[in-house]
Amino acid sequence: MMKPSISEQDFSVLVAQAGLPLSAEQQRDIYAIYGLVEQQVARMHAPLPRAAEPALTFTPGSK
Amino acid sequence: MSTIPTIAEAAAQIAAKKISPVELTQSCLDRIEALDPQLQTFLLLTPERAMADARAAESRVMRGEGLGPLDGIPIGHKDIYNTAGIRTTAHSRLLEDHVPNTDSTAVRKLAEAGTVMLGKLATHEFAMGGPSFDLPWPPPRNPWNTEHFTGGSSSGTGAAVPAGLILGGTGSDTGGSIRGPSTLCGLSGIKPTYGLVSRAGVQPLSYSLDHAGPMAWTAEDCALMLQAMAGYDATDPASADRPVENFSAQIGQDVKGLRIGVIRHFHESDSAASDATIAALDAAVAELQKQGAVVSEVTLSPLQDYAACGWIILLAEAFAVHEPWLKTDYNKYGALLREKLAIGGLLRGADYVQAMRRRRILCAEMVAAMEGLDMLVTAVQPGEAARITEVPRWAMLEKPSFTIPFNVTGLPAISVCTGFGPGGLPLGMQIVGKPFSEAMLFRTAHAYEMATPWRSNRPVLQPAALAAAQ
Repeated sequence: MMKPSISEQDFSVLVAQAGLPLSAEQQRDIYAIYGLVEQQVARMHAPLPRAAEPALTFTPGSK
Repeated sequence: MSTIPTIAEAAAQIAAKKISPVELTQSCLDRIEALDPQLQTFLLLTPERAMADARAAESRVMRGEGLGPLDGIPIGHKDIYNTAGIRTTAHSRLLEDHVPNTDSTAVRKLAEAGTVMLGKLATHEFAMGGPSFDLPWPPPRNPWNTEHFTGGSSSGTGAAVPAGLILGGTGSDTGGSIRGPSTLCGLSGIKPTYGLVSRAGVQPLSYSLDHAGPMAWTAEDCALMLQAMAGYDATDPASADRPVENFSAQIGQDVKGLRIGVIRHFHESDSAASDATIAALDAAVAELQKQGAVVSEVTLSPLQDYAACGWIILLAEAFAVHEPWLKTDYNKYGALLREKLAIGGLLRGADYVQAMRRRRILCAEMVAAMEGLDMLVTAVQPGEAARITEVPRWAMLEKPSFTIPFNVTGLPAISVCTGFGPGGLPLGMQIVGKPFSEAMLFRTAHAYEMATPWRSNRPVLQPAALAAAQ
């Protein structure tokens, strides 16, 4: 399992910012796999051309 | 009724007045009574409604006013589809007493086509997580071996169809929730093109990835169900405002000249599927080639890029859906769902936007790769269904999903049973088409099903009383 890049203390700040009422045990469980989440996020931050726009879900003008 | 008919077979027999919808419905209710204690597919059975639907269908048929091939066909609905006056729980404690006032659009359209509603089917909680043992209802069991997982999240529909408890049912697919259980339980299921089937009245998980669709024993049956479900709906902002084609129009046509691209690196190197899965997929492609399809290999970005893109979008959108309850009722969710939803709250706005930017690039890449091709093929699952107590808790992060790339791109994808693995459980592949090319997918899947023996092999289950006595 990949180790998270942030400390458990910093992780608890993220949890608090999200407003999640996690118990200490619940927080530890998610922290344990947070490295895997960071790995997924990093893939999305690979450089893109500045003009690369997000995918639009809906056709403009549709109801 | 000793054998379980497909929808197409039952429709022909009903039209010829060889079986009655009432008789057919009663046979399903009898099978449910005998087998569902083991399979645990129904959260709520609605026998009175079913018999009323069946009697109405029978009257129409006898008057010569039948509504078409779904008139009198017993089905069930995944319990994230709202049903007017009938409890709709999303398999969650949070909606344990939720009774909607209106039907979801897809439920209404299926009812208007004459289907008989047998009840509401199990799902992973809010269509994610699972199999969970800390919810008000247990998870369903795989009908091929009840010690094993069904896949999810359309788990109840996945288990109920092969066992003949229903002839077809509804599913939803945000990251593979129709195709996964269809493969692991050995039936057919299609995630239609994004926008083809209305999600209005279906509990949302991820607005830009959610798809509603049918699951049934054969591709032909899925085509019949999709015909009723598809169509523009102004109450779903993603609904595609375009004519609905005849999805059965190409059934029975050969596949000569159709061009199939196999995304071999997805299932062989990016995330290696089992030897049996790959061998069965290769044999299936060879069968289509023998019938005249032209096969080549396609290379796309790594599966991991598609999966990461899909999961980040899904988790961020799902958190947005569930945020109020997560803050006030976190522990009312089952453990497997709440910890996944919580991750969505830890993502930054920029993470979501970057994933949506990557999504556009991946969509364009897949469209370009399909130029000169009609279809793509890859695996659905890495192997046979795991034992239900041994399903990895974080599989979504540990192994990239074969199915979510086509939620990211919105392309239609149908799962097809390709045989059975060494454990005796089903294997499958998915055939992916260009936008709104469902009719061609049904044609190809049907041609394969007709040439192989898998559709004549149903799971053998003993009634609960007999099983308990042994």
